[in-house]
Amino acid sequence: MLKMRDTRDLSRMINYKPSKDFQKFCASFKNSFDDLGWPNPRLESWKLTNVNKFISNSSKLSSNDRCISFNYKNNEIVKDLNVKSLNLLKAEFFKKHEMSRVILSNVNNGFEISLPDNFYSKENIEINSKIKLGSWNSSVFIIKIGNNVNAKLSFDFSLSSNSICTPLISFEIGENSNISFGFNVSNKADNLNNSNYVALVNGRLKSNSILNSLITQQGVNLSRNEININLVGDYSIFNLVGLYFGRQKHHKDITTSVNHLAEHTSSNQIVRGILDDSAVGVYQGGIKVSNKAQKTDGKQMSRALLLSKLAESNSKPELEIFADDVSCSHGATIGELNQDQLFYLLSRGLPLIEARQILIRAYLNEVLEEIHDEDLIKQLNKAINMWLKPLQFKDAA
Amino acid sequence: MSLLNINNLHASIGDEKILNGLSLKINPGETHAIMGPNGSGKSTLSYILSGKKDYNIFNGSVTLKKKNLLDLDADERSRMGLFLAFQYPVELPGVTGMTFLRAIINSSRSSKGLPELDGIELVKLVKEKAESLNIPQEMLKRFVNVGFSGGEKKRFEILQMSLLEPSIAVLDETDSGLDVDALKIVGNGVNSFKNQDRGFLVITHYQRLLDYIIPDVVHIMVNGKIYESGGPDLAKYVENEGYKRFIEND
Repeated sequence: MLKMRDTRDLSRMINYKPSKDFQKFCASFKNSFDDLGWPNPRLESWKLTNVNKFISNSSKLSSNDRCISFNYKNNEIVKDLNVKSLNLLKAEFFKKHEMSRVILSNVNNGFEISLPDNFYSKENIEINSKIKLGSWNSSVFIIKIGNNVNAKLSFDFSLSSNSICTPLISFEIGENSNISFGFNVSNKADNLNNSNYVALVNGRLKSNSILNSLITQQGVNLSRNEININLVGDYSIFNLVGLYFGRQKHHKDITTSVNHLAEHTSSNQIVRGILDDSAVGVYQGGIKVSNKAQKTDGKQMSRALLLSKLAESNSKPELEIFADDVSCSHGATIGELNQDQLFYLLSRGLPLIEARQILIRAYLNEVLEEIHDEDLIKQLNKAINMWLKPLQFKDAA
Repeated sequence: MSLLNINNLHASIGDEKILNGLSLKINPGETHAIMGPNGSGKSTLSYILSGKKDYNIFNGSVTLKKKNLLDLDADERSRMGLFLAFQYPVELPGVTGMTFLRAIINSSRSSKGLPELDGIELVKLVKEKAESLNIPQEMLKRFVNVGFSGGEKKRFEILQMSLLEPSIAVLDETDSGLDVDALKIVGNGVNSFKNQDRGFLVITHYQRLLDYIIPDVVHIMVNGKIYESGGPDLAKYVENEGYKRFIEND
């Protein structure tokens, strides 16, 4: 039966009702979190992002379990976490990963989304998390996508002052599917402080599937998206556009590892950062090509635009290639606004604020050309506009 | 009343003195040409007038319509009515011609207290002016100056000038990189824009541009100051004899 869509009625708060097995599994991480806490900056992948500098009093925060809403016309695709959900979490990746203990021992929310074979939807499946003042939300999202699926999922994380958000997303995409994922993190309002976001994403793609993903980070004091992708099926494709905007002492981090494990797989990572004041940006881009993955095409390119002398950008490409018939490339540039371009615009009567905005938008135009999905374009434009807004006030002052 | 008045201007970049007491007065409706050998400070003068910050100005004054120009930022000078057609127009990858023109036209209009133009009005205005300069609509869809030929870049500068309607336009070697046909188009574009209120300062190496844009006064600039001023004949003299006489006597 066809029903008119009403988003107010259909968006619902997700309640966490995990099975005993699931609770038991999560509890097994408790001791190691008590002993070891947050990831240590001595670990190679955390050297450029010292979480302990930002998060000091996590034990004092309240547990925030009713903060996630789900917005899609069909609620039946959402389920509570169950014994089967565990299988994806028992992957080697999570067993070894230092964020698993942080997220799973503190987990207070989670659910599973299943998209069956031949599922087709033009509409975005929205998962919105609003983290309250003084709270910590640690959520587990399990996404199971079948064969021949065409769908879009967007994760939006909106933080408050003195809050922590540590989502864990584990997904599996079947054969011949075309999927897009949007991840956006921002603050609920301007001028909030001590908001922290550390996300861990792990997923695998089977043959002939494509995943287009967009990460936008804006406004949050500490934000890190770590993404591990396993291209296990021939001809699977992973594309990532990552964009971070930093000001004040914000710290932005996009860390990836794309593992090419089958033939004719390709990946393309495009990361752009804009950093003002004394903000810091980090991009650690990994491409790993196994000896079985002949004919791999792996690319990554990062560019950072520094708007202040104190802003800092770190780019660390990591390529490990064990096959001999592959094409892999990486590149990184860091620069300032071009003074000749700025003068040209000023000489045409444009005030400095406007001239800078035109050049910043021009810098981002290249990224916009890489994105074709209208929901992802919306997400990108929203992040850009949110970031540009306070710039106007600052320059005018 | 003079429109632009440059009085005893001294300027340097780093330790190098570039302008050494340059004085020049342009009245409304007048076209002045500055000619001079390489390195005489012609382009520096145009940058200083338009407000580039790389220079140290340690003496002298510049007024536009009796207001002290040197106190103003580059964008304020433009909004006051000064326009510089660049010798080397800057490429703006990611900014299409139309987006750029919309921004500069509406910024100029709002500074004059006029309402901003909507999309249709703007396209109509730009199209009309672009046609007279032989600028196809396609060119305005491209990124500003990116991949433009020398002639296209200079025509785009003149298009901006005609849209911003300045009181005084400084044309810095607008003839460089132009073939005879392009020179004619640019020359006609400037001539049709002349009126009794507007002044022009045409900076050039060669007399040939002055066949199309007839100057009222020609100045010879050597070592950062005006060495000699005269009528159009002075430009013709330089064309035949070169700058030898001025350099040797300096």
